[in-house]
Amino acid sequence: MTGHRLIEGYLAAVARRLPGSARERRAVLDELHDGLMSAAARHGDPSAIAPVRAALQEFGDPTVLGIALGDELRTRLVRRSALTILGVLVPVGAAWGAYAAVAGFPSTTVPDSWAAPVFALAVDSVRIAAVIAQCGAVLLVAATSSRRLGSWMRLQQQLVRVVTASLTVCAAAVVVGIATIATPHLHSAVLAGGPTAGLMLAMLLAARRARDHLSTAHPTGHDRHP
Amino acid sequence: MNSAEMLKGHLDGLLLAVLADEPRHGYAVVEELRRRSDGELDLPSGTIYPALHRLERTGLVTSDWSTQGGRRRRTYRLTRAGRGELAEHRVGWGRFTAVVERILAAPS
Repeated sequence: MTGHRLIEGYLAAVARRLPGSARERRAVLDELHDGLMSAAARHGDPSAIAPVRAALQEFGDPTVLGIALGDELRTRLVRRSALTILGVLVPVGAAWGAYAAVAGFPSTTVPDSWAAPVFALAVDSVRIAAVIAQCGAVLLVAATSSRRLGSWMRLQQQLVRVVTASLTVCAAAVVVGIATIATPHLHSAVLAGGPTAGLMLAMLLAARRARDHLSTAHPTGHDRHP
Repeated sequence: MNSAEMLKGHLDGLLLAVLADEPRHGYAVVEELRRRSDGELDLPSGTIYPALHRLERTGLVTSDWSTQGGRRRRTYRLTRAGRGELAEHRVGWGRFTAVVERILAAPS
C-alpha cells in the first residue's frame, strides 16, 4: 500500500460523515488532502508510507473529524435553505403588502354564501402562516450564523419544523383561497396561482432539504443535555 | 491538566491571532500554533479544520482557493469582524489572567 492509498482511505472515511452535494464534499476533502500532504511533507517524503502514517496520526480519528466537519457543513446547508425561503417570502410578502396598500383588494373577490368565511379564513391563514414562516426562517439564519447556537441541532430541527408546518399551511390556504374566491375573479386567481405554486414548492423543497440534512446530524453535547 | 483541556474556549481566539498577521491555509495554522508555543500546543490537526469552518460560517474569517503544486489549497484571512473579535478576546484574556494570577499568587 502506498502513502497515497492511505490518504485516500482516510478521506473516504471522512467523506462518509459529510452531507451535501458532491461539490460541497469535494471542497472539504480537497482542503484535508492538502493539509495531509503538507503534514506528510513535514515528516519526510509525502509519497512514502511512514510520513503519511505520521500525518494521519496528527489529524486523528477520521470518523471524529468527519462528524465535526459534517456538522459544520450541515449548519451551512441549513442556513442556505433558510436564506432561500427568506429570499422568496420577503419579496413576495413585500409585493403583496405594497399592492394591498396602494390598490387594495376588491371586495368583489369575497364569495357569497357559505364560502365567504372559508375564503376569509384562507386569506388570514396565508398572512399569518407566511409571517410565522418568515420569523422561523429569520431565527434559523440567526441560529446557524451563531457560534454558540450553530451546534444546537435540536433547536435547528424545531425551527425547521415550524417553518415547514407554516409553509404547508400557507400552501393549503392558497389552494383553499383560489377554490373559494368569487367566480368573476377565478380566472385571474388561477393565473396567479401558477407562479405562487412554483414559489411555494421551491420553499417547501428548501425546508425539506434542511430537514433531511438535520436528520443525519450527529447529536451534540447540547442536544444530549439540553 | 493538559494543554488541550486548558485551551477549551480559547481555540477561536488563538486561531484569529495566528491569522491576524497574514492569511494561512489550515495546516500552516497548525504549524504556526506549534511554532509560537515552542511545541507546547500540539493539537490534533483535525480539530483545527472544523474550528476554521466555524469561524468562516460566523463571518470572522473568509477563505480563498488557489492551486499549489497541483493541489487545491484553501487559505483563510481575517475579516473586519474577526479583527474586532480578536481585540475583544485579547482584552478579556488580559482581565482573566490578571484575576487568576492575583488569586493564585502566594498570600502576602
